[in-house]
Amino acid sequence: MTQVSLFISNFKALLHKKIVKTIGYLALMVFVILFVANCLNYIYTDAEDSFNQWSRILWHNYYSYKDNIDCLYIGSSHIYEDIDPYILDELNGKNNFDFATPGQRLNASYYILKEIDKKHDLEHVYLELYYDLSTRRGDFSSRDSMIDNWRNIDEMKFSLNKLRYIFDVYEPEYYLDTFFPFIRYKSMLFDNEYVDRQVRIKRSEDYRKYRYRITDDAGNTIIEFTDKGYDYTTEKLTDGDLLYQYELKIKEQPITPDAEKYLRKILEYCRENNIAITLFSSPVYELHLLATDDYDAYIDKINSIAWEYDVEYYDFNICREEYMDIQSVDNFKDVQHLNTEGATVFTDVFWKVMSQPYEESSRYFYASYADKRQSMEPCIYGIYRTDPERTDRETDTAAYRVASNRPQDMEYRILLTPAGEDTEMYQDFSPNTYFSVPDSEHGICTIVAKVTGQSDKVQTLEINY
Amino acid sequence: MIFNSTQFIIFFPIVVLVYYTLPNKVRYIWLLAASYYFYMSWNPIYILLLFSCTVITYAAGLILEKLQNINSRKLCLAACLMINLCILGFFKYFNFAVININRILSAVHIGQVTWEHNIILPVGISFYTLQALGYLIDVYRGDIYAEKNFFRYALFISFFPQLVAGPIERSKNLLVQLYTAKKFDWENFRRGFVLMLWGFFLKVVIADRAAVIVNTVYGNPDEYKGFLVMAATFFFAIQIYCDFYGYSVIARGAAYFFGIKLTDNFNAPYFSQSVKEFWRRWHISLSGWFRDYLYIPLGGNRKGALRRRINLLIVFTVSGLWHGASMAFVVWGFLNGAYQIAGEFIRELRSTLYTYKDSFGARLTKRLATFVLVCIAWVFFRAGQLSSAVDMFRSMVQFDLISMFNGAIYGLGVSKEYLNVLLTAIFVLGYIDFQKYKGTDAVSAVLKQKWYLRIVIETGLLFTILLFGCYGVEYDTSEFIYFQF
Repeated sequence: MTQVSLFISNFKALLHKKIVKTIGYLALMVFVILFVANCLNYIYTDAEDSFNQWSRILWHNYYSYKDNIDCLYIGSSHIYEDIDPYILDELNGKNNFDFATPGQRLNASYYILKEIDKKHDLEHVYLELYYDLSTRRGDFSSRDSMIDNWRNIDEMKFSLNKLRYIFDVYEPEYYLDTFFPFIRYKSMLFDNEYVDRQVRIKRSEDYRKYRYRITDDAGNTIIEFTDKGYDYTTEKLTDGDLLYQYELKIKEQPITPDAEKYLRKILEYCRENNIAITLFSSPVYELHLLATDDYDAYIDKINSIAWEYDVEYYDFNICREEYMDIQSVDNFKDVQHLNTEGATVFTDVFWKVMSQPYEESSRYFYASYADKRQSMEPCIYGIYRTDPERTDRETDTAAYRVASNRPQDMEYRILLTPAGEDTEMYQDFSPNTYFSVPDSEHGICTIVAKVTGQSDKVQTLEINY
Repeated sequence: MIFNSTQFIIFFPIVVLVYYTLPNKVRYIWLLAASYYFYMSWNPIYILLLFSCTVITYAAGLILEKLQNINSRKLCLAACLMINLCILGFFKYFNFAVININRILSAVHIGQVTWEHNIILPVGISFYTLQALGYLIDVYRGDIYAEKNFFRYALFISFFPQLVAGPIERSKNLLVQLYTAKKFDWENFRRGFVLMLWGFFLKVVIADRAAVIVNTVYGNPDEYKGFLVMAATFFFAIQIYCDFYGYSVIARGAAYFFGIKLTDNFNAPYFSQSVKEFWRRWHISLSGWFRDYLYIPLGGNRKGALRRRINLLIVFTVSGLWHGASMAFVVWGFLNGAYQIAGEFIRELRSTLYTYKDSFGARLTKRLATFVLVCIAWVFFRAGQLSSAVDMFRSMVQFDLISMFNGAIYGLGVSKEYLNVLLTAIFVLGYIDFQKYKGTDAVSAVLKQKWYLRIVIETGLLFTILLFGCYGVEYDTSEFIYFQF
């Protein structure tokens, strides 16, 4: 009997030793794998990319934010370019925080909202809806969407919510790239210069202290990432930049099924967790809207979803000029985003609208974008490239259209100056808004526009193409 | 679902985990379910073929065991063989047959056959059909008892690690192992893990990278000549070896996780000193199958030299046809048989070439000569069509010394750095294979190392695969070449 119990205790000791050794071996192996993977991530992940820097700093600032976030502004890049939380802090006396990364789609916003709601007692969520990310770029399984989501995944701390986010957003073929970020940079494996640059940036004090600031020669700040998710930028749109590369066709499908699914999930999440939510769209430069076939289709669709959930939707693209006169290149950083000057104007109007009852604030807006166009003086805002069907690929030509808010009421003179060549007149004053150039040709396109029948007042734009 | 896909990396641990949490008695049912799921991930409808093959051979095995009359037994076996070979023939050779019938008919100016011929070959059909037929012949010969448990037999036919590209297992090896209750064994896990890593290394670091060069040259035969075509053929020899060997190694590794030992399908074939030896070391399970179930029944070497040679040619030609429904595969198989017959004829002449038959120089010469002969045959295999193979040979013999030195090889889709990685990996493979040729198993050697060295080797291999492998969203996940057979 004693021998049997001795045998059993020896066997248990042996088993115990083997199990401990095995577990120890596995743990050590996991540690080595993680250590090597982190070293490779350090060497290869791209810190030159300002978008990556933005996400890194934003998530760091979020995790180090000590106060409760009362009002969360979430959505696409329009959040961090257009909404100044410091102004809002003064206006509403609450803690306001912007949370958005470049190209952030609604699936990312859904999981980020859940992440923030775990730690903060959210009073109000303001969800920004940029229509391009729910239409042209609204396929959430596209490669672009995967890349944009990585910016959040890489910086988000490990949690069940993060795992759900990964498994929900990514197809299995993306898992390795998701869990081992260095794999995405395999093409840079032998590029020593790239590695040198990455290591140099990552060893810099600014990078280590989560600072990102670009100054001009005189030391004035041009871009600075602030600690409440706001991107301070003094960059300005110029007339030369008034070329938009896409013609947006959203009439048939004003929002993709992917975008609608996550918009509904966000609305349901807020309803279930008693978080007030308001939907809004930031103003874009008029050229962007004019390059869209039917912007009202988008407004109607979002309104119908908002009504379904009994929430408010404000589209600042149809804000009346008397309340917000923002359509000047000086207020924009690019065709999509405001700069700090514009953001200051917009944030003020934004809060005026948000702080009033819906019935009151509705006076700030036109009933539709069509109404707004009809009420505007005829004007041109740039040119946009028409869809590929309009581009004659056989002869390699690129087709453009003049972006006019009242195209039928205006006439256009189009002059083309290809780089290094003399100016040629494409057309003298004519109602035609379309023109084409060889696809490989670059230069300056001068558009002179006048209201039909009025020769005294002309508007001129010189645009790089 | 292929081994080098993320789906498999998720599927496999789940199967293993559930396998060891279930009671012993039902584990094989779980493996069967997993195997059927694995197979259905290609095309669910083709599971019916696998199931039919299983049912037919299972029933035939039981009937054969019951029958006493020799003629009845022969009839039963022949009927079952015919049914299975007809199914295989229909899916694999129907297109080939229609095309060749039409060629003959058009040569004699008779109207063409107008049957539709867009049949897709079910993955793995050549492998599981041979495995099932091997079992049946074993039962017929009385070498084994017929399996009574249908589910166990179904697992023997469909065991997922080796289902779609072998090794073609014998019932004496695999079926027997399915009887034994498998306990969790950490040693099996360790061995399986290292084997799988090694298999992935062969596939994604060597085979798929070499494939880029091969596809560039063989896809544009008019643009390349001389050295570059030879180099591409060399890389194809490496590619097909690492592709198929890689699959077999991963299959063996995966099977180890379930405590099952599969046949080692390759034994350093490129170190062979004759074509005959090459075939003893290349695709061992197929060579063994043809030897036992075709060559020996044909008379083997028992009926004189002439008959033996004819049998050899028949076996290799059939082997070629088994690989693919194309004249190029037939020629490839025939050529490999012919090499061996020619080798016998010039045996004496060859022996006079070497003063010391077993000297390093003699062995090296024999190995190089064997490798060159095998590579010549590979040209038919890779080209896929006789005319294409002829074009490749024509390009190969065009003298083009400059391309050896002007860096033209870096223009074949693989950068200088990755080519260096590829060549280094091939060198490592060569070293490990040479050790294997001498009888030292690299995996066993790794497992005998101290724990810290094992961690270095295993993580080193893992990161070599992650860093230098061809996989992920930027690459089309390459299927294993032998899936098409």
